Amino acid sequence: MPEKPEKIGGAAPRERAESAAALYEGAYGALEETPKQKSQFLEILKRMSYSKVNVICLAIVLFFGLVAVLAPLIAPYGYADMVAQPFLRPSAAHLFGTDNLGRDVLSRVMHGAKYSIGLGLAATGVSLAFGMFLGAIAGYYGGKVDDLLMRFCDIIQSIPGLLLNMALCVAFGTGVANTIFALGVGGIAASARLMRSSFLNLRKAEFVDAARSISCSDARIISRHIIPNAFAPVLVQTTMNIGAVIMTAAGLNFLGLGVQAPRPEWGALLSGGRDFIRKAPWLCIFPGCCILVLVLSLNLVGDGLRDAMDPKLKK
Amino acid sequence: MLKYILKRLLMMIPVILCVAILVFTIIYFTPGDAAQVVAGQGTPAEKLDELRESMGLNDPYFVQLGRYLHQVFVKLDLGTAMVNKTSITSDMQARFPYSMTLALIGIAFAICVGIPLGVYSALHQNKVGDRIAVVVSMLGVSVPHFWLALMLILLFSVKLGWLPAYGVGGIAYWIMPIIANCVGGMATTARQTRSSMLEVIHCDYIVTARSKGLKQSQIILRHMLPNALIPIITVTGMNFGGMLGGGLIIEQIFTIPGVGFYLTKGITQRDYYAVMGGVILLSVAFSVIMLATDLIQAFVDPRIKAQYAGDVKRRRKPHAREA
Repeated sequence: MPEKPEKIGGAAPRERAESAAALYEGAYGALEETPKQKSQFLEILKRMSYSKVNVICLAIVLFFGLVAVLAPLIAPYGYADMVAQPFLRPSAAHLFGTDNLGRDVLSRVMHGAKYSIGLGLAATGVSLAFGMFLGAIAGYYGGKVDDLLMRFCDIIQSIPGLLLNMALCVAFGTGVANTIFALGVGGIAASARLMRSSFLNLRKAEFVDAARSISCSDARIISRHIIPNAFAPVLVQTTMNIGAVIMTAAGLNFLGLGVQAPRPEWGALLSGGRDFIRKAPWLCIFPGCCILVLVLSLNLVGDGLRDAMDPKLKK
Repeated sequence: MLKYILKRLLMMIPVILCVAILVFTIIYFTPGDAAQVVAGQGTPAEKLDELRESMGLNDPYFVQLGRYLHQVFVKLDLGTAMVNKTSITSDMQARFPYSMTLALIGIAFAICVGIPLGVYSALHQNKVGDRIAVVVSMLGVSVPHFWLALMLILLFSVKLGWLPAYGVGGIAYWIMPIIANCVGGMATTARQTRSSMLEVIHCDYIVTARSKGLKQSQIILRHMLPNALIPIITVTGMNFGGMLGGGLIIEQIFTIPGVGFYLTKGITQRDYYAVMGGVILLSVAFSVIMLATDLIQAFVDPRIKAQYAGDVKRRRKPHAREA
């Protein structure tokens, strides 16, 4: 092993053996991926940038993200400020017009970006964290534990998605944190399955055997050896799902569940504008366009990311 | 084959039972007083206590759960709605056909438009027609269907006045709800068809078929599509679930008196029994559809069928089921 002698002398035997296992694992990973050790992340970004559509969509997603973060600074008005006459048509002063209470729709949409994107990210994070944990346990231990957890996933997935989220929303109650959990719990089954299937492949890899042979604990093998290798595909799949989560969140808010007025989540804006669709169609048009553009860009970025990571398409 | 169908039907029972338990548990732990909902606002405290006792709300969780399951699965009775005091079972009988019509016609459209579109794109890969089809199907995946419904109303009812904005009646009333509900499914079907067609299009057996001098239509129908069909069927099954769930919002927008409309009303009225009944019913419908897709897959693909045919030793291991 190409280790420096003084390091071998200094380290405790177990650590030494483990660092050897890690080295092997690195070599294994390198063989699987690219022959030269380059930064995977940069390589993928470079491959993604070949397509103009990807670059544009990434820019749009970043733009929305920036608007969401900077909304309190750059929005012309606060989201609950009544600043003008009700039902003003879109004009230079109010680009997206005003709503039934004379609130500036542009400002509300900008503040709404924070809630919509925040809900999407946080809920995805929740389902990723729990799903990975459960999927890891099921995939690593196999047998009865696996059967039990997978049957549980079967049951959760035999309730149509939006219905499950809705029932959870009813149970958890309204509010931002509760909505995040309602959306996140609904997605656990899917990410648990993904994690499990990549664990099943990795469980038999040599570096796991190597780690086990030097008596690493299960927790250590899972957290230090398997998860870093299983993480990427699960992350990509989940990223591709953020758009769908944002759409589900908007749907729930549209039904009046989830985030409550006067908070300007995009679905809630649509739900509020719906009653005035004859009188003031711009109340519905603009928030919906924002959802469409953001979700479209997210989906295209996800597609691009998947293509860039697909070894079959490598040059 | 018959054995397989029977086995799958039997396997559905515990799943449905567990769904009912799950839904009951979610609703059970929902904060809120069922007796208050039944009695209405401003009922004196003693009366509420009495009601709680008579409804069995003071019993332990397992007793209540057992009673509910017994009622639903043995007596086939979903209970009485808390607010309107009507029988949920007969309410559902009246409303279920509307939801099913919406979802079934939606699925039919998704298949009839999505598959030809996907086949066309795959055959003309990277040409103008394919590019347009890809963009359109991506738009279809990304558009929120409730917003699309609102925009359709804005265009066809408010501006043009061609179609009625809400309610039920003749065909005209169904056009917009069905379009809004099926666009997403259509787009996912088209995308899946395109990608699985592209996978088979360069296979050796297609080259063989072509070199035999078969007609293009024969190659597509007999050689490409059957081999590309399995993932498309899976996606269609998932779409059906999406449409049953998504129909919830569509029914609300167009005031179609289906299960979804009943559910959303149940939620705003805090009518827990109505919500439970609706969710369980739709989940059962979804399970039946998923079973049907599995059976269709076995029917279409002899490889899957062979695993279950007659008394051939089962090659499928219990753990081999992939996500």
